[in-house]
Amino acid sequence: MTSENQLKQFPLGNILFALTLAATFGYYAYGVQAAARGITDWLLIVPAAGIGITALLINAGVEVINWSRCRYLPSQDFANSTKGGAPALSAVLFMGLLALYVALIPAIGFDLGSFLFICLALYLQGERRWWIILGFSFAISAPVVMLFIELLNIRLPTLLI
Amino acid sequence: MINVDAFQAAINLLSTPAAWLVVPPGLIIGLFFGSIPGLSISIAMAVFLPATLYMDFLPAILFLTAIFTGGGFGGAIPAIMLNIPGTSSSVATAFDGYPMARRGEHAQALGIGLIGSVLGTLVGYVLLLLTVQFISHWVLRLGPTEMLVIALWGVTLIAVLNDASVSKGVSAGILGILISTIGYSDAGQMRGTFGSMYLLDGIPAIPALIGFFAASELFNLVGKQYIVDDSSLRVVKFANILNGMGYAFSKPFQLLRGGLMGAVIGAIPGVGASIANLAAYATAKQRSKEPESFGKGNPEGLIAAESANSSSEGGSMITLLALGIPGGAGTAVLLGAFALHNVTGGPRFIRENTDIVYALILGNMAQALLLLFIGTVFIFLAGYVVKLSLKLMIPVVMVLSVVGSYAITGNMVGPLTVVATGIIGWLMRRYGYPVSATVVGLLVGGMAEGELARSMQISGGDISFIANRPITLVLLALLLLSIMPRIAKGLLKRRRAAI
Repeated sequence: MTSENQLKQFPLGNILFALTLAATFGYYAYGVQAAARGITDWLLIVPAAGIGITALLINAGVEVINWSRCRYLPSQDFANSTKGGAPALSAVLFMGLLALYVALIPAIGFDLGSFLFICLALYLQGERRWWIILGFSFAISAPVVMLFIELLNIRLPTLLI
Repeated sequence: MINVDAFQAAINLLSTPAAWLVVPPGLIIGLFFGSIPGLSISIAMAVFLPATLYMDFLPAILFLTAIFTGGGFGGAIPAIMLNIPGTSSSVATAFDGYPMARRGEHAQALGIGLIGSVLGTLVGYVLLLLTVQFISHWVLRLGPTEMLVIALWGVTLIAVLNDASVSKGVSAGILGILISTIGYSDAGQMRGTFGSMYLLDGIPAIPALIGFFAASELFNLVGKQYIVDDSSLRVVKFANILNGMGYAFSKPFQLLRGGLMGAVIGAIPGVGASIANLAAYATAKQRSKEPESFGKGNPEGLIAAESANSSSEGGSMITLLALGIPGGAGTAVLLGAFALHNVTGGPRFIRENTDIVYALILGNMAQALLLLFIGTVFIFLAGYVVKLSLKLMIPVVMVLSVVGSYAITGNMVGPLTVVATGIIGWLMRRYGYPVSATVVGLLVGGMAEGELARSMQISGGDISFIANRPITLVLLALLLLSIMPRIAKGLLKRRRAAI
């Protein structure tokens, strides 16, 4: 290998994702088959899971083969391949925030929950002006919740409205 | 083919102004509901169904079909602007519409979508006008084996015809099928619910669709400033909308092909617009000289998807009018309106009320032309989405999606589904799995399982049974023919790489 080349990162995430999905397919199909009272209970699920597991194992194998074939990348390609770090972290933080919002809705309702979620989402995305954060969050969360409750007659859990 | 006396009577029925006063509001309601992620055409039709109680039968149905027509195109707006199909029938619209929007061609894409929708609706209803009596007999010949092949065709086409590898497409499609089987089966078995009563009805399809498409894409957009990176492309010009419309008119063959496919597939009960737009998209991609540009903003993909999902409305009306069977959620609400007015669809209804059937068809064709004008104003306003900062838009769309998904399910399963499928969708995008295949699997999985069980029961487990089903054999041959070129291409590519 020439000194300009860099070692390509092992596609661990990709392989773990494929293997986790394959294990989930297997677990689900086994559970359905074990509880089945007749062939129609598992007729679609077991063969589909079998095909899915095979396809996922092929995916994992192909990833390993591709990595072993070209383990070293030219410096430029290496720089491109490692770019996504910061956006991925932002995305993961945003996912965590969304999960927290949904988890807290039964306790704090859609009104307060949506208000706090928009505030924190704006802050996470770099907004630091407090009046924009509070004003925008209120201007969106209150009308949205009111629209669904008053106009569409949908009973949303709320704390303040 | 057409009963002339009934046709003239239909025109007389439509000449009363009361029949038309309700159409523009219906179109606007449909456009509004279709364009908000989380709301759907069937919600809009269900919400406004009681309003038709004091209307005569014809205005009542025209009002509801106006919502249907407006919503059919309304779903294309978030699909193009935000990669969020407002309805399951707009899934394929997002494939090329959104990449066009990201290139700054949002106005053209909306113009193309509108013309595809308008002409698709016209094609569907013209076909209905000409064939309503003949098709009512033909649809009855489709049994469980035919329906099973159609469902598998839908998943296979999308799983195989995408930029990812065949194995990734297949595994993504199967993920969708398996998710669709969670909950109580038709035979009463509880599957994958982990003992939760909330999962007895299974994973709700629309919140899952919002999660896979919208939430996962919004996670990817966190940290970006605008949907369109280049500030010079963030303009909303009426001329660009007209350019898009002109482009769509220059592709009459593609419009007609999508329209015909949509109408035929839409006529099959339980299949409808969700499959029609995907099948038409896959066919357009296969027939194109540049199949590799599909999914990257090829306007022909958008034409195929929009013309097919709109024409399927006419197709689904065939089964509603001819058999009294709803083809999907929208026509199910229409069936409710029929019952509200003491009308029962079926061959007898067509024979005894041919004038009303023709009036409905002609009224819907006129609605499509009205949509052209109302929709143009609507998309001009919708085009301003590209000028909005993503920093502000992402939390707003996320809140709308979460609240909308709660509205659909009536409990926390909707929002939880959005979060879970959003995270899975983000991982799938990151590792090169096509989320579209999962969504299609999710939409047709339930139907595939039901038809497979029925096929099994009818045939007694004897696979030679399908040898006596010529339509099944033809559909199977078409399925194999449609995926062969892609598989052969993949094998050749691999062999060349090995050399």
